[in-house]
Amino acid sequence: MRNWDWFTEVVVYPGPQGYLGIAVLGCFLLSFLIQGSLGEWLRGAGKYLSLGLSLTASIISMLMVVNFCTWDVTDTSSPPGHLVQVQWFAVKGLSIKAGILVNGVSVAMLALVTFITFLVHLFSLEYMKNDPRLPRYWALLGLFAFSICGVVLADNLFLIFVFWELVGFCSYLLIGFWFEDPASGPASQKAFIVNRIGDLGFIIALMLMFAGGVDFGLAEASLAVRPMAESTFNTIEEINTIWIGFFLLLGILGKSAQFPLQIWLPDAMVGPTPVSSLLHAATMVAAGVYLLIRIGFLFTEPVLDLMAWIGGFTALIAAISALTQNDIKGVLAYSTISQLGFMVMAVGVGSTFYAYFHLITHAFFKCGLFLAAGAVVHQLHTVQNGQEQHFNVKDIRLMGGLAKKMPFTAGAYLVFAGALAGLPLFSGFISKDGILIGAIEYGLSEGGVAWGPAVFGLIASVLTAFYITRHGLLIFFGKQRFPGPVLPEIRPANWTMRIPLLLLAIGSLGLIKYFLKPVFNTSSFQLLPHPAHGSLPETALMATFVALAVTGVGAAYWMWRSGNLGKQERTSEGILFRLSKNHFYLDQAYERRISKPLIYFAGLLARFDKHIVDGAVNRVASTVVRKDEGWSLSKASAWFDVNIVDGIVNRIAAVVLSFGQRVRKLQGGNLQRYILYALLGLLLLLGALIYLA
Amino acid sequence: MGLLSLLIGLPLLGMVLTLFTPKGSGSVAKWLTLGVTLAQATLFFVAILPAYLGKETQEAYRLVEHLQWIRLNLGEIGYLNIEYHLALDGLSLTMVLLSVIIFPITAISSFRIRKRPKAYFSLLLLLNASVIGVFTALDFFLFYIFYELMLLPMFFLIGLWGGVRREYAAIKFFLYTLFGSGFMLLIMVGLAFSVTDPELSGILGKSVYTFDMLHMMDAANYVKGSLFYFDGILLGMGSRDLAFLVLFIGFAIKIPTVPLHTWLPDAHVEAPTAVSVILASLLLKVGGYGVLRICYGIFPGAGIQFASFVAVLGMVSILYGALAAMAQKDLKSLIAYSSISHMGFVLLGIASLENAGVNGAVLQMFNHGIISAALFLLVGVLYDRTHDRRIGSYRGLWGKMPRYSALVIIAFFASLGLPGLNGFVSEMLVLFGAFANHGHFGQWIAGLSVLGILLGAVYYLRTFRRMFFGSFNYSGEGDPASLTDLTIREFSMLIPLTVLMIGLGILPFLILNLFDGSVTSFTEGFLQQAAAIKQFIP
Repeated sequence: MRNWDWFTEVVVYPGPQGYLGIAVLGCFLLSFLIQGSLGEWLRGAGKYLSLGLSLTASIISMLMVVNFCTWDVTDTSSPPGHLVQVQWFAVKGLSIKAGILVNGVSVAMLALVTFITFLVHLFSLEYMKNDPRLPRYWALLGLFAFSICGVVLADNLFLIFVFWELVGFCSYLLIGFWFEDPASGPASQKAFIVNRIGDLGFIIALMLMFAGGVDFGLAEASLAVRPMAESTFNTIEEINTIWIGFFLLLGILGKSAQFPLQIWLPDAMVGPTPVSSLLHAATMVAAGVYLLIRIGFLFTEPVLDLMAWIGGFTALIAAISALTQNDIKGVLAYSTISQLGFMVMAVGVGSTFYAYFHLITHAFFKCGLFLAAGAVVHQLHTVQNGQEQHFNVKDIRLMGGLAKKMPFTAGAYLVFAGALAGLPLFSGFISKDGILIGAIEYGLSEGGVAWGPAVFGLIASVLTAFYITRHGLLIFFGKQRFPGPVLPEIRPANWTMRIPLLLLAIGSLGLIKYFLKPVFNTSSFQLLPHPAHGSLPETALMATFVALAVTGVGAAYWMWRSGNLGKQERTSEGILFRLSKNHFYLDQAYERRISKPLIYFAGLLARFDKHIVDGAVNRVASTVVRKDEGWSLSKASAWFDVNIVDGIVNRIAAVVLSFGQRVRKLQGGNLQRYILYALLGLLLLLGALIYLA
Repeated sequence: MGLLSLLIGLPLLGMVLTLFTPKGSGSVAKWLTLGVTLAQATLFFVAILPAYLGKETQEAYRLVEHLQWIRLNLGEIGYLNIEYHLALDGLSLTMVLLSVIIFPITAISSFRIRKRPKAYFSLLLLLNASVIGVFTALDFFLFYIFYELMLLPMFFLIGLWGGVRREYAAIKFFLYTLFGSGFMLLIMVGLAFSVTDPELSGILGKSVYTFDMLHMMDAANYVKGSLFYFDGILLGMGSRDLAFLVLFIGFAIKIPTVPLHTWLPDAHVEAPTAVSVILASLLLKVGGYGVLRICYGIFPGAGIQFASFVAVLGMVSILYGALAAMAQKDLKSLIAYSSISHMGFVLLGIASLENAGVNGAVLQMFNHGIISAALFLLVGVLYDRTHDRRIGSYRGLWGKMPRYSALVIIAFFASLGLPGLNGFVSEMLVLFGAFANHGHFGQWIAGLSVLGILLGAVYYLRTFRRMFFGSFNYSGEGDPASLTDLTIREFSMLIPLTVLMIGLGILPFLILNLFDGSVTSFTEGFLQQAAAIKQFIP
């Protein structure tokens, strides 16, 4: 299943691309530094600066893609410098490098990330315009974009980890951007800590690599882990490779919100909506999948199998949870987890190419869905500010009928939803199709339980069509369900919000396939594992997938028509409903089984420390010295001193004294006599000494 | 007078001058102290540091000052020689660098001391001199004098200027340390009578027993049949093993290592801010420095034998400190426990005897010095305003003190090992080294220690959430109106440290290159010595 050739091509790639990559990084770093230091001073001009820099970065990345597509692999006259690399720091035996490695996989991701980042910048102009801490927002977006581009471009795992963590840090600060909101603190903390659990895996993988003598460099590592049979480069035992792959997978599960580490993502929605759209839907969470593809050579069969199961399982349970959510962003959050599950599964089943394809299409339509939701929330919020009655502007049960008020947003939304549901003519159809076929191939070739991922995936895709249809119907169609009087006219979204929606909608059409064709034709993508086509009746399968999607859509529509969707009060909540609503009580389980016991244990340990460890020290001390009535060594020794030692001394003194009384006669105050006695004494001493010697 | 003597002499001179300032002139004393520490730093950066930059052979001792001090004629046995021997190699250079960065900051931090400023600042300067002395002395006797000398000012600084339970904390600190150093004295004398100075012995025609640590590090200088010769037996175990353990306990108290750590939280909580800063960022390093230079340097064989013991202690400290930190209600004591956790990485790195690990340990000492100084100063900022360090008293500080919060974020994340800030690189190096140790101890020890990185995130983020998120509320007894953002004076202390945290996170080689030559040759020499010793064992 592993295709060893898909990494070798990086070794021959022209150098200048690396410098363009540095320029992209530089743009975002500049945006961060300027906003971070001079943001307050720049005031209104600041936003245009960040916007301009992100546009520049996006254009440079596009240039890189064009360059890359037109570059001829067979042309050997170009310099074979694929990367820009410097030594970062070193001690004897360990040299850490910092470099940029450009290949098809990274350049396409870079273009995607920068493009979406630009759109989100544009969208934020209007969305965030009244925020008092705007410079901080721009600065963090800049730092985030810098970090994610670092993850995309970095040439070795150590450096990837550095940027990986920085991405998590930005996510922490952006989720907590509105820190007065009581939900933001726990949500941001949870996001960072759950990600850290995954990152422990990443660290352990790095430790294993170092101990096993595998270079962190991607190109070097890809050679080091090749099995002996295929080349002579194998420098590490297969079992170590398995462990390295396993622990790296753990890191990826954290960042890409996969089971069992997916619980942070729904909570992350308390951040500003453009942030959710950029970080927690389109780019950051996809970074995990990207990394899976970038370092695919490190994953051996057992790990790939695990990946397929985890991905399929996550896709299913997250889709089930999305069915019953009422928060406009909550549905999308679970949907993101589910879609990421599809991608992880795709890599696991050997359909890596389609994982990447889905990553791209998903980035467009999911970013679009979030921005559309953001536009809805933003407009309702604006309306609400003029109203006396307040209601939850994020609850889809209170919406309805918005298509008439916001036709543009609704239209774009339909495109995104169609892509997510996997309807024909939309982008998501093509990529998801490939993933499902890959999963079926996997089931066919492995047989037996290996059908699991495929079954999960198929069920999840029906559910996907259902929940997004429910979401859309409740928001945009039917009657208006707001409490209180009829809302006044909703102002249409302004152009800075419309342009991103428009561009994303175009990108979510099936046409995207033709735009991507030149990129996909490059060797980098051709070498990615594809599902083994041929044996399957593809047209029939495709028709089946369409039928499944239509079933989901139809079921949701039917339930909506009969008034069973989005009821305010439910008379009864079945067990399945409650499991779905509460995401299988995973959060509560972790809370009860891990967080609480950990904190309890820490408290216990602190008490142990205070009373037992320190208590022992104090007890030793009080055994030696104490002020109160109790017994102590010092008191004992004082008693000993007074009564025994001093007693002996006193007794001796008494003896000496009485002896002195007798000898007193000898003393008459005559100096000569003293000298005589002294001499006598000395002679006696000498005599004794001589005698003893 | 040599440069190093000047470096030690400056604060002593400052101390004498401070004592001679007229009564009630506290401001003279504080400016004088600041001036002296800045002069000391200038001397270091202008005259001392350049001697090490861009040189090929960093491992050598430089700026050597070697003077005859005390020579006891022991008759037939020979001579006992005590020398005034100062020098710096990369390791001690790094420690002195840390000291000269921290001392001016602590001087600024002490500006608001109102109680007996003359005495306070003269003690601070005495402490300064003795810390530099410890890091530069190469004669064990001299080292011991400086080591004990550190105790005196520390005892009074905590005991007189500390918090409510200051006397308890001061005495506890004093006795704990003395307990360790008392045994050190015995080992030191034993060592002196086991090691001869080959050159002087040749010149004087009689064996010259020496306190010189460099001679103690060379297996060839041990006198056959002496107490610490390689076959020596003491109390039923190898005398060298026993000596290693005894010295190790002495330094482990200083680091501090679980279970010998309980003086630290008390000392920190009671000490005034500046003293906490010195304690955390410099005095703890004396422990790590001692373990590396003395325990491992002089007893390499035992170092290998007890590698897993030391590594387990490191691991336990990492996890125990982190868990205990999680349960603290007092912010200062939380940071004290986090210090225990982070100093555990130092032990773990040293125990690995792997080049990356030992270098990581030394880098961790430097980084922890910077980070913990910043953390204690940040606690001091709150304490100055409200005299309240309870975590639960504060909420929503982010909105109230945004600049302060930004610096807290940087310091917290540096401490929990965020890449791009300095703590990360050293902890990774330690973990790499400990995991790849050459079979000295099980890899599971390093594997479990990784959990410390997770726990670090847990206790810092929990604290940050509780104190900084939400809307502002202060529920303690202090005045909420006093919670204003940082003053210029506070910025002047915190900005250099923050710059270092970020700068060294991005450019770790700036510090790493100062000592990696020394530490590498030390590690390699150590392993060679350990191999050489095997030949001497019958």
